[in-house]
Amino acid sequence: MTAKTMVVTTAPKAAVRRRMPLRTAIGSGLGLLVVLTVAIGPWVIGKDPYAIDIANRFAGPSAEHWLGTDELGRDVASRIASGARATALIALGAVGIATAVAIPLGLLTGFLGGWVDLVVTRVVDLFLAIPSLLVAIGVVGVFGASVTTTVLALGLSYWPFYTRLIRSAVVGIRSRAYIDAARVLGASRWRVIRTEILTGLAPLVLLQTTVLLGFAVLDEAALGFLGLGVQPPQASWGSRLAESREFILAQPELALVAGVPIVVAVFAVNLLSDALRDRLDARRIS
Amino acid sequence: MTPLDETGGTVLEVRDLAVEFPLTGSVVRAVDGVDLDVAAGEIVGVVGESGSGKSVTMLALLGLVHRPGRIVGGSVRLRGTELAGLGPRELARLRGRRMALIPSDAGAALNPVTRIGAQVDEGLARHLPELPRAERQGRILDILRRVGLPRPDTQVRRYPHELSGGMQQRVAVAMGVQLGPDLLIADEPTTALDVTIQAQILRLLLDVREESGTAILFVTHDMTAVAEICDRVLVMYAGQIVESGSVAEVCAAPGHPYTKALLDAIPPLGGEPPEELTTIPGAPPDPRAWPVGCRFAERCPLRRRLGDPAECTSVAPAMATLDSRGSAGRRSRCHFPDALVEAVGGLVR
Amino acid sequence: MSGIPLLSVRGLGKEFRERGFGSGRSVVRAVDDVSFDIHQGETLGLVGESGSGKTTIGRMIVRLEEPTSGRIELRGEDLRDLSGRRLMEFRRDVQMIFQNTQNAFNPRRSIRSVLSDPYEIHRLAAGRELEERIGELMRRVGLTPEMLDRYPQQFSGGQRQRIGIARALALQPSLVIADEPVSGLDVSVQAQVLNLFAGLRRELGLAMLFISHDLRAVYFLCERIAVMYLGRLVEIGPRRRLLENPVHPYTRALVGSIPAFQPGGGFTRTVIQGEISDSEPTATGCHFAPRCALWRELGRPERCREARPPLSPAPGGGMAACHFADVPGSQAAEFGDAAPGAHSAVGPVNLAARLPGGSG
Repeated sequence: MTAKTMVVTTAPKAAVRRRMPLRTAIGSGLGLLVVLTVAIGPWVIGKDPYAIDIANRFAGPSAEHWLGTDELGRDVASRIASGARATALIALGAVGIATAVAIPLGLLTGFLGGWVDLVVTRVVDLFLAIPSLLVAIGVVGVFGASVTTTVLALGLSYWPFYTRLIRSAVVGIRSRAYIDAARVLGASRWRVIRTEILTGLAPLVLLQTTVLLGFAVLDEAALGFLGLGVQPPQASWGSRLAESREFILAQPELALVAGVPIVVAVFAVNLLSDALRDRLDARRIS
Repeated sequence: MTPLDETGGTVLEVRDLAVEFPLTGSVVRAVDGVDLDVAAGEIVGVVGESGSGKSVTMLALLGLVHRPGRIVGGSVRLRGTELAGLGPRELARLRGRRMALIPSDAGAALNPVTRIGAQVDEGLARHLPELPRAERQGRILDILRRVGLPRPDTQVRRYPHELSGGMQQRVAVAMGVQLGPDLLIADEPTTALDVTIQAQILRLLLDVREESGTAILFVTHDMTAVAEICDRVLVMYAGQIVESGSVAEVCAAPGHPYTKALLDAIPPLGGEPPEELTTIPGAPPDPRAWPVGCRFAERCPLRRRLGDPAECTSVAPAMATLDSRGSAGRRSRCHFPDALVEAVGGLVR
Repeated sequence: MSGIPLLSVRGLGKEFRERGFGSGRSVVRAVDDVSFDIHQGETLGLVGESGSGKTTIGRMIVRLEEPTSGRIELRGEDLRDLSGRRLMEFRRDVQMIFQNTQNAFNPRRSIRSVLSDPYEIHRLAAGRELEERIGELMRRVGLTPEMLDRYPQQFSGGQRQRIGIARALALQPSLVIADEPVSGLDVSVQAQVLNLFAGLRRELGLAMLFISHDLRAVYFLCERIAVMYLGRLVEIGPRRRLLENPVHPYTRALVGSIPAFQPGGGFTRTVIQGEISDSEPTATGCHFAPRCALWRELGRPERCREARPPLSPAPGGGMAACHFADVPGSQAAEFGDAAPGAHSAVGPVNLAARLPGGSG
């Protein structure tokens, strides 16, 4: 190591080390909260999120209803907790679909090149030219609004740019000398992909997945708010927003309570992905 | 040897310079007590391998050591002006005008989205804002012509990537010399270039010295290039200067075992090649914990030949004048420089 | 030089077409009608500046690039026909060592994993035997098996290059293509790596194509040297003849550009005018003519611009591709080194006297 590279390498490392704990702590704390809500929230609250009690509508927070009740007298806390499950399912499903499509397509186009690359890349460009909201509306229009179609709609709007990202990463890795070295040793294409390219893609995929999860939570809420996502009375963070929309002037606190978990979840994901990225960068530098 | 001529004056005077980089749990003293002088019109080579501290020394001279690294001691005088206490803004004013850097990779140092003419103009505009635009244009073309850039009037409109590596390096030299600095620091200016282009750039540096009398610090790991264009040479090892003197004398009879080892490692050209090249065993010491005694002792062939004298590992040798070697100004950081001469005799390869 | 050569390259050519569509794309001829042989256990040095096509030749030999024209034969067998099992056998026979860059190793794989590759791909060893052979390999290149679990970025440049050599040697090849294996290394480290190469060649009887821009390294290691200029082979011959009596004006320029290392001797290099990009690749004439001092001295003869000079036997051994190789005086043409300021022409004079060790 030359003294010159020491200047370069120590600076970001030292900075990372100093900054990371606070951000990671907040991110992990909030993330843990979200995960706990999904995992054991409904059980802890112990209320039926669908039980209607008109007499008690718009009740404020109390020992009985921690976050009050909604326009039909349902327990808001338990609706948010069980909605978290639907939202998490949708986010994971959508990101899963996008990843499952993007990695093989990105590998195919980036590694093989040629006409496959040309055709697939044009198709990707075509999809990228259509606003993703339109894609979602189209899917909902054809299949009707439900959890499944929301997953499908979001997955469909994420795969094109994800594919592009993977493709450009693969193209970058493909030109490295160690790929040539593997080929000269006689490694098959499949082996090169497995041992050289996928190992190089792993950090990118990890990072991109977390970022996309944040997007998915937001987009699920947006679709729900527009009435295109999960349909009331089924609980999700998006449908909760849609339900509270009608009373946004009379009972703004309902919309606020519906929005806070979305903000918390997205914030947590963003903090964690930032921390992750810095960590991966630091490792690459050293 | 070019003596430090008082009429030409000392351009650069560095005393006991030290630079440190804090790491978690330790401190790296990358430059440890460096003294150096450069006279007007003199080309001084600074030779050393990766990690020797030569590049950090140059950054320190330019005031470009970045956090967390810092200059922890010593004095740097440029034409009598002490630079050690100056703030970043004052140093920036000196850079370009009084001292300039020629980077090792001009391709990376030039801004890829700015035309050549505009980049050369940046320095002029910053330091000589009173100069009329038309006159600046003339000066740009003139300096580019002087560094041997063919057809400068068309080249100024080009972007760096449209130029070859050699031409980019010429532009970098032009930017370095255009304001007539007292001191030019050339940090491995030819390492990235092909041999025929290397020769052109080295010749260009000689021309610059010839024409403007600029003092040049030439940093390199290539002893053969030093032998060609430098008047004096400083050899650095593990953050210290271990030998200094005129190029001819140092190459003919090195006064430090490390210098000798460096020279021996150069593959000879011509004749029947040897079975094996002479190498230096081991690796440089850990910069986080420099050895107590001589920093080269661990790898030193002379020490082994002398039967491991205790001084080598227990007493840090100081830079001492080699009186027995003719001219003054020859110094070496070795306890037994005379043994080296007896053991080797003359050495030119 | 008798018998079937280990490697035989005949009329090798490689064209790169610029990206895009249509027939208007310009074609870059990176390698143009190159022929040479490498015999069993011989080391041939391939020198030239960047853009001379030397790396492309190496890459074609290991089949990382497909030649546009010409033939490459290993022990008389045309490489183009290889596929399947024969290709895998070829892989075991011919290996490559890459330039020491950050990209030579996958930063996410340990050295153990990297060095297991050749044995796994060719199913040569597994389990304990694999372990033993990798350890042996590490010792062979001057490292220790304890380092196996480290990652490439934890090694110094010289150590990484040793690992690169180990990776190439694992399959016990008979020919190794080494592409700039010592550039970017410190002088003392470079000497260590060159010694390693010399030792391997002695002990394993390895044949090698040693591609480098560093004539000193090439001279130390290679019995014969081939000089490339802009895709063409301009001279090839035994090292001493090539260095001490270069025939082609470009070889002379190249040799003259190396610092002679005469401390205090002043600027001993000859400075050749222009750059490789000043020469336009023509199908007809000599590529070097625009920069050629001899051409100018002879009054710019038309022949150099119109006819491609063929490789013909040079005095003292080897071949050179110059129309005026035998012009009296051109051997020791007194182009001289001009005064400072003038980027003078070519012409090392009396090399034996100028070169260190030349008298020995």
